[in-house]
Amino acid sequence: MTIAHYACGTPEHGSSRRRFLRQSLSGLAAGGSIAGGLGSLTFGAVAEQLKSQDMRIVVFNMHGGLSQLESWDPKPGTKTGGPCRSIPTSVPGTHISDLLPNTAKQMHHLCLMRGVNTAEDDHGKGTYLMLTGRRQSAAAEYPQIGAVAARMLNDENRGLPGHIVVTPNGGGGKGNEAAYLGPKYSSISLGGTKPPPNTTKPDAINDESEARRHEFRRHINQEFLTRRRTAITDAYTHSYEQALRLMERKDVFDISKESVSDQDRYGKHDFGRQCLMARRLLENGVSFVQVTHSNYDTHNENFIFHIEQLGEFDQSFATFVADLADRGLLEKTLVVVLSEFGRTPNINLYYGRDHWSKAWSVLMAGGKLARGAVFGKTNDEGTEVVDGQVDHGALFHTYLRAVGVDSSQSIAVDGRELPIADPAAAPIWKVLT
Amino acid sequence: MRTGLGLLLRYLRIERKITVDSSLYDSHELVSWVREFGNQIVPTQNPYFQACWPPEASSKLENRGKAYGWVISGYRTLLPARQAGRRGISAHLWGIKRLRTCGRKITGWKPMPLIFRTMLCFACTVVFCFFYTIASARGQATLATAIDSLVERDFEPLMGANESDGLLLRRLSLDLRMLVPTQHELDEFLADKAADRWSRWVQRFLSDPLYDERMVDWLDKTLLQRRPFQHVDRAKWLVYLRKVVDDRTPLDQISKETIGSVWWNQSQRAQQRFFLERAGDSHAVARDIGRVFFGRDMQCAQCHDHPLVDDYLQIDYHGLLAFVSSSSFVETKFKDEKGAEQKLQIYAERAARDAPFESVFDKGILFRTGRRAPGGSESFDPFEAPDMRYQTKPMPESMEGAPNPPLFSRRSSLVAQLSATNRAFAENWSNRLWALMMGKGLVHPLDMHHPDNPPTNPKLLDALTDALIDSGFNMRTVMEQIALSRAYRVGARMLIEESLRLGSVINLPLELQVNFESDLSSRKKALEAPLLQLASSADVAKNRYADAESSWRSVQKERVEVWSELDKSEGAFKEVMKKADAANQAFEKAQKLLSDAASRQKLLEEASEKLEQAKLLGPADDAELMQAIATTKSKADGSKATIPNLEKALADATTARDTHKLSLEADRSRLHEIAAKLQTVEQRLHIADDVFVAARSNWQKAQSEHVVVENRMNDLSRIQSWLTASQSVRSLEQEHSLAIQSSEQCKTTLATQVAQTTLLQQQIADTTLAKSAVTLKHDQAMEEKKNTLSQLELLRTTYVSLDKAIALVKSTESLFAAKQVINDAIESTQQAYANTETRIDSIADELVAQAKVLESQTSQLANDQQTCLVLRQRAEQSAKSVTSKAEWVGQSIQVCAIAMQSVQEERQKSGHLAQARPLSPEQLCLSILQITDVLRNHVDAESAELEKQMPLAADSSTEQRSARAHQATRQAIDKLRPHMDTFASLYSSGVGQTSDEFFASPDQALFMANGGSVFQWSSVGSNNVTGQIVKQPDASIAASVLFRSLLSRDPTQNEGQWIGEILSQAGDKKPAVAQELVWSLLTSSEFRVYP
Repeated sequence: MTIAHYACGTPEHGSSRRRFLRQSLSGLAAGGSIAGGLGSLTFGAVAEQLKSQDMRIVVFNMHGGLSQLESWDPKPGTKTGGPCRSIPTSVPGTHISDLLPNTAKQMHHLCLMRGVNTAEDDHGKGTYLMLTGRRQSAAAEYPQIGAVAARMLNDENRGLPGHIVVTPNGGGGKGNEAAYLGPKYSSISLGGTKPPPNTTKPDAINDESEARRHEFRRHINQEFLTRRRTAITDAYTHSYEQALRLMERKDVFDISKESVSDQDRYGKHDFGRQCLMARRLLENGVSFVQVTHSNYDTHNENFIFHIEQLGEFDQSFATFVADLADRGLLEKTLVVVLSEFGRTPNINLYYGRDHWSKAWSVLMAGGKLARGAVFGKTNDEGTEVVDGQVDHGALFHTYLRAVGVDSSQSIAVDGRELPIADPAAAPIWKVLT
Repeated sequence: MRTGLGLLLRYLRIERKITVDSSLYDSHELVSWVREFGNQIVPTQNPYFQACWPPEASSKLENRGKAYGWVISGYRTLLPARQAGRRGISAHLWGIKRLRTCGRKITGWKPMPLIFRTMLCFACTVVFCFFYTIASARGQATLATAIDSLVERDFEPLMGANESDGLLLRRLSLDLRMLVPTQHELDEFLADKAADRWSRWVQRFLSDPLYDERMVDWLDKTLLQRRPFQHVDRAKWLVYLRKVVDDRTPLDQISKETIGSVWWNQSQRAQQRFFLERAGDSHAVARDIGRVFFGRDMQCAQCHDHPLVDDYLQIDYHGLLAFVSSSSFVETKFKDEKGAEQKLQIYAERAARDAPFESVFDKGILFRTGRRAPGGSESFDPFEAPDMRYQTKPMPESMEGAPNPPLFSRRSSLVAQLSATNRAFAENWSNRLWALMMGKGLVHPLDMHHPDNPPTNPKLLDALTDALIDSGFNMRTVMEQIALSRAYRVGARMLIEESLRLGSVINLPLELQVNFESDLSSRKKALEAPLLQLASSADVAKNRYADAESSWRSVQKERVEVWSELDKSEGAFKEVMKKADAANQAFEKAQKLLSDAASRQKLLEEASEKLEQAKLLGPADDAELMQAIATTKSKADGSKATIPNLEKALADATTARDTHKLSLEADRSRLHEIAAKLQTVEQRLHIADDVFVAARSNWQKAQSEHVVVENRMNDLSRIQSWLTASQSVRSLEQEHSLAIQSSEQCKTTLATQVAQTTLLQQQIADTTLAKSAVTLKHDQAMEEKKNTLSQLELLRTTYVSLDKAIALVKSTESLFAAKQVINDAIESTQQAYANTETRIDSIADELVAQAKVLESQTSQLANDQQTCLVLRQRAEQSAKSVTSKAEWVGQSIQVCAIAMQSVQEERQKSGHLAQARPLSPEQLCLSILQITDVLRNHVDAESAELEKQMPLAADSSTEQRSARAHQATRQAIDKLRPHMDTFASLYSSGVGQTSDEFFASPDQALFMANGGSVFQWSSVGSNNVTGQIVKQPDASIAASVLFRSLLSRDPTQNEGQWIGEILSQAGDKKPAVAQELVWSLLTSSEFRVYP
């Protein structure tokens, strides 16, 4: 007979018992929401401070599982190394795969984590844990990094959405990644040239009419607000002004406004366009952008696929990093290149590599991260982490710290205090400056 | 009432009516149940029960009944509770009618003479009807008034007037129908002056087709929390919910169907959705059973006692989990209409064992628990050996791959808890209904019922719960009563909001203020003693609870030990069972071999006989036949020879089988022995549990009473400190204005003084000027005097010279004349000198006088300047004090605002009254569709379509017509559902969230402005509000139409004027302008929130 399995995985978990006791002593009878009130006050102050610091996050999701051996952690000349070689980079002593020649020249901006072990070989669950920093469970949902970033970093006064996922064709819809933070922080999916849905005024409405109807709306609200004014009515009224601002700024979502030379430098392919879009969005102050590059799930012909895919990636990504650095944006932007997991050191019968989460790599750059650093090490054949092992929880903390967010804080939701990152994990302080 | 009827019937020894609950199909538990609860009528309509009823249980029950002297009937044709609920009294009459037929059928019971029985029945009916009518009339009259008498009135002096009529109707319409009233309805309501207007309108909305849709929407969101349709079709789900609402199925029945429905075929697939859409995850299901049906979210007690809630123990969570821990997804197959094979996941239950669990804080200490619903006591499964735990026959219409249900179903046993017997269950629903009408629960969050978060008004929750139970869990009755209460109508219209608008300072007339103050302090004082007493009694209760818990835990521990013993023996039993199965199979095989051989031999012998007969008939020398006979014979002999061996093998197999059977039975009896031991422990545990549950509920009660009074005290203190803060604001304001006054005074005095000084300075200047003129004059006179003197001197010298000359020259004549002239001149000069001297004297005097004046003036100036300085300083000081006073006032206003906010927050938490809240996505969508006439057009179209398909007769009844209207509305809503889904995707909190929290985002605004059809809907239609405005020549009437249709009120004077101007200036753009106006009102803040 097995022990009942504990799957609640609630946000409260991982905090120590002492903390429970302290919390319960500090005001059980008074009810959680008073504590929540204070929490939200302090949180508000912190968030304001952050918003003024103007930090951003961009995530490159290498969908399917990028092979660490063909990218960040090559093992040439070993039985698991495969045919690819390694090349020196702009950081003396650091070598990466020869499939990434342009990225190698930007290595001095980057911070490489070579000791990732997430112990999760399923695509769905792997994606979930890398983006939320926690393992998936049926009974609780956690917000993704994008939703957290939108909540903590986005300055609503800019009139731009805070959480954008760039896809090749632009979904246009809203995702559901925000969990308890609420749909406000869910992602908006964008393509290369299309603005978010409903940002274009219907043809039937001329400018005069548009101006007039909003004028009417303002006037009526004014009358009502003098009689009854609450946080709800304020927020609601404000959302229409935000919408108008977003309409004014919809050019932000159109990369055809970028110069032709830039479009060439990034590449004419989907991924190049997405990277350019990401740069444009970040420059305009969007707090979170996710770009997906698909597909790295190379159970067959791992090497041929990686040569093709990484060829695209290398050009656009290296350009992107160099541009960010040139424009001084790298200081304010955390760049993360992640997958759901890595690929097996063992090469299978079909010249493929399978799912491998025990020892793989994640690339980060920018923000408060150390530059040109390499953290963690795998053994000679890349089968195990021998030094500096980290997992999704630690990485999630590190992402937040890298943009100046105190990852140990909680967010008050409906009178309950929810830690923004798994309290059982801690940031990787060694790579943070 | 029902119990009363039962007692009456028992007293008359006519019938003891038994209705059996689904969980009790297990026969021995049934008998114990009959003993215990036989006098209660438990409604049920559960096919599970009907399917599983073992035939022997019937006779057992009847025999048992006879032994107790009862006549037991009615368990096969059960009185459906919802019929009882709907038909009210007639159901009871039906009961009595049945009773007569029973009387004839049951043997062994002497029927009274028919006339007697009839009279008796009649008398009973009359008495019953009389009491029932009185009781129900009283019940109905009391809930609405009880609510009013129980709603605390701390704010009485601050309460405003009732909400304006139109806005009240808007709220009622939104609550009961999910949309705003039409202008037509509003006009009718406002014109209605009858005394019973409100109750008639409540009735009217309750019988609106959209009321049913409202309840469908509420049940959907409550049970499934906007989960997507992955396992059950949306259409199927809606059909089910609509049937539930149409049949006026009581809430307890709905709950029972949700939990107790069958899972092995497709007949109750919709009811299973609660489990299915939670992906069959037992933890998610257990959490949500706790949340939805018992108002307790015990998720956090899964791995340890709840860290923040004392009352949620880990063992409670696992007690709840026990009901579903043995259920999981199973894939089954079925043939669809086309005959193709389809796969389907079902949430099937298997035989359960109590799984051990441990606290993460005390690893290694294992616990087990039986089933325990929140607010109930622990119960244990009857023990069966592992080979006897499942039904042997497959269930009717069971799908391929569905395991047979276990003999004892834990899930079905939960059904018994979903009734009035479990107070937590009933309170959960009454709280949810209150929240549905009022926007917030008396216990809030709705799923956090525990003693440290007691209802803000326990008596009110009690009254509501009693009313809900009395009504037979009828949602409609309770909602109606809440709507009829004054509390509902006063709602959010409290002066507290007015205060917020005007500023946070309470400003009452002095007399009221004093009353309010003394009232508050007397209330507080009255609470002081009870508070102390409650605190101590809560402590005492807690200690008792702790004692009970420790002894209960020690028995629990014993049970855990017996359990592990049982576990071990069960393992051994299973081994033996395997062996016995193998032996049994070997035996069956041997038996088959033997019987095969025997029949072979027999057949061969018969064949050889037949061949012999054939040989006699045919040619004698048929060699082939001879050969055949020989072969057959030899084969038959061969077969015969194997038989003894086979017989021996069979005998061996039989022995082996019997041995194994014996050892299995021995093991079984050992198992049963341990089970009996377990049962003994469980019986003791029952006793300990009773004590524990009682102590616990005592503590819960004491604690929650204490917390309530404490909260109440804090509440009063908060109001008091708000009042004090308001007072201090006002006194500081007074001081401030005094300071301003005195500062003004100082300033005036200073100004006067300054003016005076300036005057004096002017005078001094004048005096100085005059003095210098006099000095000049004096100087001139002195000069003159000097001249005169020198002239005189000259003259005198001349005179003396003349004298000398006269003496010398004797010509005196002319000299004398000359001398005379000189003498005269001297004299006149002397005179002049004297005159000058006198003048000089007078000038000197004048000079002295002037100097004096100047001196005095100068000294006065100095004085005045001093005074000025002082006055100026004083003025400065007073100005400073004005500033600081103003600062104090500002600070105290802030303090006051904080005090008010804390009162406000507490009030909002307390949820006595409806608070300002946003419309739900569905309300928002339907209201817009209503206003723009899209909804009505759809309903009309659907009606026309229905009429075309099946015309209603001209003389059709009102009921038929209303059914048709219902049907048309439903079809229209289904057509419009994509729009509602869009609104839900934009405005709701998303899947799995317990409630829709308000948030505003630009994509909502963009949707309203540019996307969707909202702007297009508001274009001019033949008879919609935009069309009416365009057609209306009188701008003020048009404004009124606009505001009444959209905001259910008349425009204010400003608004009326403004609209009038806009429309009169619109000219030929009037249609566009009208459309824009309608859109702007649809997107206004006022439209977004409840009135």
